[in-house]
Amino acid sequence: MIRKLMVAAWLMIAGTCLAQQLDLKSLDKFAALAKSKTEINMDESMVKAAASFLDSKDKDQAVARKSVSELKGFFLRAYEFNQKGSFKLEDLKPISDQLKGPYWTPFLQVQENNEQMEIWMHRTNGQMDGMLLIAAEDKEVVVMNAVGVANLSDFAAISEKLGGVELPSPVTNPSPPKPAGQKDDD
Amino acid sequence: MNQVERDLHEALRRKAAPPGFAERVLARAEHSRAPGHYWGWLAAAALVLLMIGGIAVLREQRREAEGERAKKQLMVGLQITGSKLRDIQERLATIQRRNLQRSEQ
Repeated sequence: MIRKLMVAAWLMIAGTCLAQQLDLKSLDKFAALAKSKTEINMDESMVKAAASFLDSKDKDQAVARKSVSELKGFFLRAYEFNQKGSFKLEDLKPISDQLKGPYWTPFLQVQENNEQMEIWMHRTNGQMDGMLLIAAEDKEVVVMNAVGVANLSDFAAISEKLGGVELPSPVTNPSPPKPAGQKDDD
Repeated sequence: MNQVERDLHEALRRKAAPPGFAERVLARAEHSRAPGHYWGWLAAAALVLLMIGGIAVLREQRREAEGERAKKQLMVGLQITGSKLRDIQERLATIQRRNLQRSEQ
């Protein structure tokens, strides 16, 4: 009986780890300090259920439906604070520590003043199967883990339609200036 | 035994029932009981069907409410993500412009 319970517990823990890729519990303490908060924990079944209710006739929802078609989990923490200093970049250390493993590779990292923006890719057996977004500043922090994202174009659509523009190209250093006379595409 | 007693005795004397009496009584009893019997079963069946239908409707309503709630949650999450991706691109564009200006100087 005890063995069965232990196996069940192990399976539950394993299932949770598989579903989430990243433990976001270190951020929970900010919920009490935040002016506004959004906490989303959706496993595959919830994502599928939600996707089945997205209306393909609605432009935004159609984009969302396409973007989440491969998702196996969606976990988000977004906290907004009244005062500066409620959140420090050091508070992200428990998250950063988890990214040191072999599964995570940085795609984009921008750190300037007191702002930090990062996109990480999760790979299993060399195949991309997840994405992490960290956007932190003085009064706001957003951490999002999308499990099952197989390529960034899946998510490019939501930034275009739901966020405003296309996903950035994977560079942290700006490209060198173009030769004189060449027009900028932008 | 006087006359009255004799009459009474005669009147109360045990008589055999006419032939087929028991069958006729049983048949009439069965006939009068049958409709009520079926109506009872029908009512019970209707009640069960009603309950099953009610549960199915409630489940469907619950499933729809949960689905709608999940949809709203997902849309909010995607909007926040999309907005942050946009911020990142804007920030990259700013850095790129700044570096471009520096290199031109």
